[in-house]
Amino acid sequence: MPRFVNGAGDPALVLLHGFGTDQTIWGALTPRLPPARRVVLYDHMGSGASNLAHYDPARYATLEGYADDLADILEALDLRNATMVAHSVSGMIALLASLRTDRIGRLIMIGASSRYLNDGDYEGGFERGDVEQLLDLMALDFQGWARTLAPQVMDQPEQPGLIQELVYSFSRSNPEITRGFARATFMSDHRSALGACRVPTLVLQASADMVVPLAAARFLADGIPNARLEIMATRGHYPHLSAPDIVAEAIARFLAETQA
Amino acid sequence: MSPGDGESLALTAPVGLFEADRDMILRLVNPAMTAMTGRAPSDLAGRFFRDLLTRSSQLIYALKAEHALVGAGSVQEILLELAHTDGRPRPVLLTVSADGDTRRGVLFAAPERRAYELELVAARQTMLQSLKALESANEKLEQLVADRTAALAQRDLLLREVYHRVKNNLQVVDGLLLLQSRKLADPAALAAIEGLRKRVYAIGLVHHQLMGSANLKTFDVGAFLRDLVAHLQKGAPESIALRIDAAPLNVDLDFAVPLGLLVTELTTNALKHAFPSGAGEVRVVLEAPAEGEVVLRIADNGVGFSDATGTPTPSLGLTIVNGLVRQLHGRIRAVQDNGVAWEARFPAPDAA
Amino acid sequence: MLHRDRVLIVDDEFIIAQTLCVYVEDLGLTVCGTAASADEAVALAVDQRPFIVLMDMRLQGDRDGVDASQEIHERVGSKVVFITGSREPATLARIEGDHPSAVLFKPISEGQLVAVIRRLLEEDPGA
Repeated sequence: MPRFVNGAGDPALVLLHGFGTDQTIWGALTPRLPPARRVVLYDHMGSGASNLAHYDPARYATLEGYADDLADILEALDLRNATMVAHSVSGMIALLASLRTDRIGRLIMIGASSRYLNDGDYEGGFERGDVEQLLDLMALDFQGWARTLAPQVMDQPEQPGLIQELVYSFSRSNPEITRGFARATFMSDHRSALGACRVPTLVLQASADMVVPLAAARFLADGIPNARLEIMATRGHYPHLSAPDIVAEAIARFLAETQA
Repeated sequence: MSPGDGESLALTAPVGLFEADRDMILRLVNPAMTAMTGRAPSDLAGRFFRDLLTRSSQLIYALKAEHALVGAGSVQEILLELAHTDGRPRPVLLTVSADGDTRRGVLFAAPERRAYELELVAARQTMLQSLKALESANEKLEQLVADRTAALAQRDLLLREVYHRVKNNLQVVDGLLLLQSRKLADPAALAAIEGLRKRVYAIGLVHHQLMGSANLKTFDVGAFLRDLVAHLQKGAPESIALRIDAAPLNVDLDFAVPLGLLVTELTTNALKHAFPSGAGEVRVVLEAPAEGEVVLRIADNGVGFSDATGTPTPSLGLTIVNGLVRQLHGRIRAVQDNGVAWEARFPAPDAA
Repeated sequence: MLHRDRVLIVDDEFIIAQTLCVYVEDLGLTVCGTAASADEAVALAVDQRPFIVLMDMRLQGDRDGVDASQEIHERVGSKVVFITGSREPATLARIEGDHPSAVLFKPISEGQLVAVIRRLLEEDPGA
């Protein structure tokens, strides 16, 4: 259910979290974002606490279903020329969405990858067996995963009136759905979609990211026509948590470049 | 050793204990950590914690633990696998708490936990299967009920049809009697046929009531008798009044047909013999107390029996009356008292 | 222009039709025909233009008494007295939907029929 706190300033920034977290992951970054912006926070189907009845396994077997949802939300909010700030798996979801709707003006990806599995010369970072083991361990520990995916209320930032919230989520007690999302994410291959992306894209990557080898980040930036790669002076998979200033500054520069 | 001597506790603890910096680079480890990882302390200090994990657990760590550790600096019971140097992964539960920039961690060996979780998963599967089976059985049951209901409805339909046809056929019988009577001139013969027609009508009326009953089996005898007497009134001279006072009583066909014929018999008898002057009244009363017998009274205020002894004249009608009363396991007597009063008593019918 | 002294009897049961004939003739009216099916009934009604039609619900053929009555209503305008053995709500609803002049339930007595016919003749003196 959308919860709107009236924001100012278009074009809007839509923040999309990755697998295993929810919108609260943006808590360190949002206060550092440009104040004149409307910011939209978004939980994918698969996180938080949404309506199990809306889950259609076929629709969400790949990331296409999530991309459709995102396009629908942009439509519903009537956003134009919007900037997607997408972490991890959301990077691909946002890219796929940009192929479906013209409401996306530019993409900023943080720690994203077009394919996680190694494939010949391509270094995705994981073997198929690793991901299968991940899915098995998820089956064993689904309560633990469920807790992880439980919704948390976002603290109101120091700048009130900035945040639009969208809570769009599903039952946290269903391990099948969690695993479905995990499978859709880590078994996916979207390398062939990169060339079709028409919008300016910033690929932000930290070093020593256990989920994304640098080679995969390079491949991603090279594959998207109008993209550049920026390696940040921070480590880990959550630079927006560990070094929000660096991320905010990179975003601001990119927005200025692309006249947003 | 004093109670506060934590160091020896750490040395002998059956769980892995470690201290790391905020980047989760290990600084201190206890001996149990060596057992769990297969690495000497010198091989552990200076490593990133995540390097101790299998590749898939590194992914889990990145997805579940890393952001919590960057943020609050703590995690609770994350199930991971250590990449032991002997090649066999060790399932562990990781708990970390923050102490300023220091991270203090515990690793519990969790093979039982894994076994337990496996059981839980298996139990859940079994439950889901049982639920499916139950659903399926339920569906079958509902189908059965639907089929039975349909069959019953079908049966009711057929039963109504049967009653309809019986009524129709009785109407045909009545028609035959009528047509025959139009060919006769003898008053006695005509009267006889009229009597027959009335009896046939009474039987037809029972089927008419049955058709209107909800269970196609029982109906209120009171309503039936009122209809019957109304019909008999139409065939009677206006100067003779027929009164009916019937208590409600649920009866089936086996009770109603003999009763209807009885009422027809005794009433037409009174109509024929009680009022030579052509005027009078016949009262029909049916009592049906909750416990006890059903009582039928048919009384006229006419001239009484022709026989000086005050007993009724033998006739077909009387034979029928006695026979029907016997059929209903009852008894009947006639009393002469300002006319003739018949009183019949029957055990209440079993009709539910 | 209907003939007040004419009655059409529609019933597929011969004996019952004969019985009804007797009752009608007792009243001094003429039975202008007996029909066993809807088609026959309509044909006779059109030809004879009776004031009253005694219509049994069940007839030979596909069409029932209501069907016949509707057509007679449109084409002739006779008063239709329905005769039915059934108390089924569905049947009664069907009959009611066809503006019956009267409905009689079997078993019918002469008295009932006479009363209905007399009433119809009185209600509509100049047909």
